[in-house]
Amino acid sequence: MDRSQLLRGILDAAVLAVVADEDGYGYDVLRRLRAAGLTDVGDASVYGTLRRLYRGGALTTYVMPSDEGPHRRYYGITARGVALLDDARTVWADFSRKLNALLEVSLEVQSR
Amino acid sequence: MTEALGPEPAAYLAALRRALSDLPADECDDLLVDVEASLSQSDSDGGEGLLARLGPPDRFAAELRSAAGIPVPAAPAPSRSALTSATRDVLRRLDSSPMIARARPVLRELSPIWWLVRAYAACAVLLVALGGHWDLLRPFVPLLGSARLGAAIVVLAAIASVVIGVRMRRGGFQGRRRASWAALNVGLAIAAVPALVHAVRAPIPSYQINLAATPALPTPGLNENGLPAQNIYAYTRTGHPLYDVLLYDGFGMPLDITTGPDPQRRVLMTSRGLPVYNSFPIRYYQPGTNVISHPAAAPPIARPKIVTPPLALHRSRR
Repeated sequence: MDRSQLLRGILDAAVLAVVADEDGYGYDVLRRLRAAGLTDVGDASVYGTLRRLYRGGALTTYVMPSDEGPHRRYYGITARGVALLDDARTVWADFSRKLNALLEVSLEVQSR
Repeated sequence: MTEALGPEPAAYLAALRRALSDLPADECDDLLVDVEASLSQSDSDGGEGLLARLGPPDRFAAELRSAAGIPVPAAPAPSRSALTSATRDVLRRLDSSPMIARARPVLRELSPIWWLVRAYAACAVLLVALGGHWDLLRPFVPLLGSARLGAAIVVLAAIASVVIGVRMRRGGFQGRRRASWAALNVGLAIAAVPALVHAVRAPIPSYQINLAATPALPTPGLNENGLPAQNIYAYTRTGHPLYDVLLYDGFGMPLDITTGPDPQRRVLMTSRGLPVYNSFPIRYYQPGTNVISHPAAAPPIARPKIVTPPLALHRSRR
């Protein structure tokens, strides 16, 4: 099964969740997503998603100086982002419960 | 900001910028801020190459674009070159002109003819590039190796051209490949002009070649009605042409037709290596080869019905 396709649909929620946990700059968000086990996630998808969420008002940005190179643009979550994340949680919980049930049943059928 | 980057990340970033050059500058900058920061970061992290980690810049840019919800431009990112953008402009204007719009269905119907013409033009270009010649008696056949091979190549090219044409018509080939096919078409259209002029103004039968090699002044030698004989063809009474017939006059002198130095004339040699100029008909090689041009070459003849006259002996017998 193509994991990257699956990820595409749920990447917004994943990014929002990471940023809601703690503000972060682009590369940091990417690293934390990977650390959480989403190793398939592409750099460009994450940076693009961050910009889209920012433009949609779900994220806010601020610039912080960095010792290691250029200034970093940090992303923080906004009230709108929190609402979106809550919405995504509900949808995901509902969706995954139904899909789990469906897949377990069909697995049983297959094993018979 | 970029001065903090190493040469490899800087080049990668420049490639991304090119791929996104259709966006307004500030939007492009905005998209690339995070990427730039991460490039400098991963630069210090070291490890595998950028290309291996991030993939080709074009794909990275496309992914960035789609994740950011920016529509991908219909045309490939416009090139910086003024010439190509001017060409594109002209093409677009032509495309939208009403005359072209009216002609388009007709042109579409006729395009298979063009597919064949361009295949022939491609062969002609190949022939010229290889410094080849055309077949003497079938001037539309390029001599690629031999006339037969040349004809086979023309046929194969025609098939390939039709396959490409059909694929193109069904909307195959996208973006840059489609554009390069179109450019190739234009090139072949230009090349087709001299190729077709040659094929149409065709026949250069062998005797004309011979004429060109003969000095214009009347020469001592075999003449007919005051003009030098170019060739002699001998036939059997049943109409079969004869080859390498040696002709002599009543004094046993060979009836020579000598020409100037003509590498194309096939001259018989004696076993001692002396040229035999009285063998007829004179035949010619295909230019640059030792293949005899059109071995059956002989003028069409109207053979009179020949009846053997009764021998005197018969008549005298009563």
